[in-house]
Amino acid sequence: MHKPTIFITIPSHDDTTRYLSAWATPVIKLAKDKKAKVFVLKDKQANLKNFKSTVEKTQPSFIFLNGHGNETTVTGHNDDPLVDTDINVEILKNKIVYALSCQSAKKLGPKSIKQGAKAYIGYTEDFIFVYDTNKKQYPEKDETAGYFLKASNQIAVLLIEGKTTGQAYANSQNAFRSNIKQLLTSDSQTQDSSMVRFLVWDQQHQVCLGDQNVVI
Amino acid sequence: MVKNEHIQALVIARLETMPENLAISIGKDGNFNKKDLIKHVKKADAIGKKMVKVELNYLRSLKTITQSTLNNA
Repeated sequence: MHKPTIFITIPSHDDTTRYLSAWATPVIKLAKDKKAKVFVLKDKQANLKNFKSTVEKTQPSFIFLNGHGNETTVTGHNDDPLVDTDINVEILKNKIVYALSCQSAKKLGPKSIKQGAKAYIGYTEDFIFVYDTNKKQYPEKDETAGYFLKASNQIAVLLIEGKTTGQAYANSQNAFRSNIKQLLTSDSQTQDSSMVRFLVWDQQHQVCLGDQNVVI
Repeated sequence: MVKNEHIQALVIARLETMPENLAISIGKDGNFNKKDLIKHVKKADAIGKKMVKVELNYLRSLKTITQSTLNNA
């Protein structure tokens, strides 16, 4: 049976990256349970030098980036650029990429496809999420943040489960829609309904570039 | 100008309904509570403008979202 090689970056130097890192943990567990070869750069390890050497040595079929970003870059620990359109975009050649970061699908994503990446899933605008400040110490238990991060991480979950990029994208889109519908139609509290506009934002700016029919 | 002021007031009114315990992560721009966001919208700075953009995007999408919700009910 095919065992994919999966590479995940999880910096955690501020509240946002701590949340992304906490919610990526079940994805890492799933990948290990599925007997994939999993390589993780966490915290300070998530720097450019380690990123480059890990990609070159392990040649992952799937790279799951968690971190800050802008139109041209996705970053690691302390916002150290890991992939950038002008520095090393070719490192994504032949890879399937999911970037849970802001804006990178605007320029970095399209350029990576031109340079030979199989698919690039990400966000063309800021990835915004709402969280409960009372749960900040235990981000993995923050159900408010879960509405966003669980829906977005469906991309990685479905890819690990052997689905195509197009199926993973469709599933994540449906997860966002389902959360939006739930919050709009239930007797939800103000806490819930104030989140809807941000869920709509993320859902509408999530894109899948490149081949929709590839698996990791 | 008047239109902009109306939109700004609308966004602030929406943000006022947000519970105190919630905060919003806007990537590298940082994390903001309700009071912070309202200040930014009043100042009409980059964060404030982003909040307006999110709200307008939501309002424009409402028809489609409602239709889709009703169709799948």
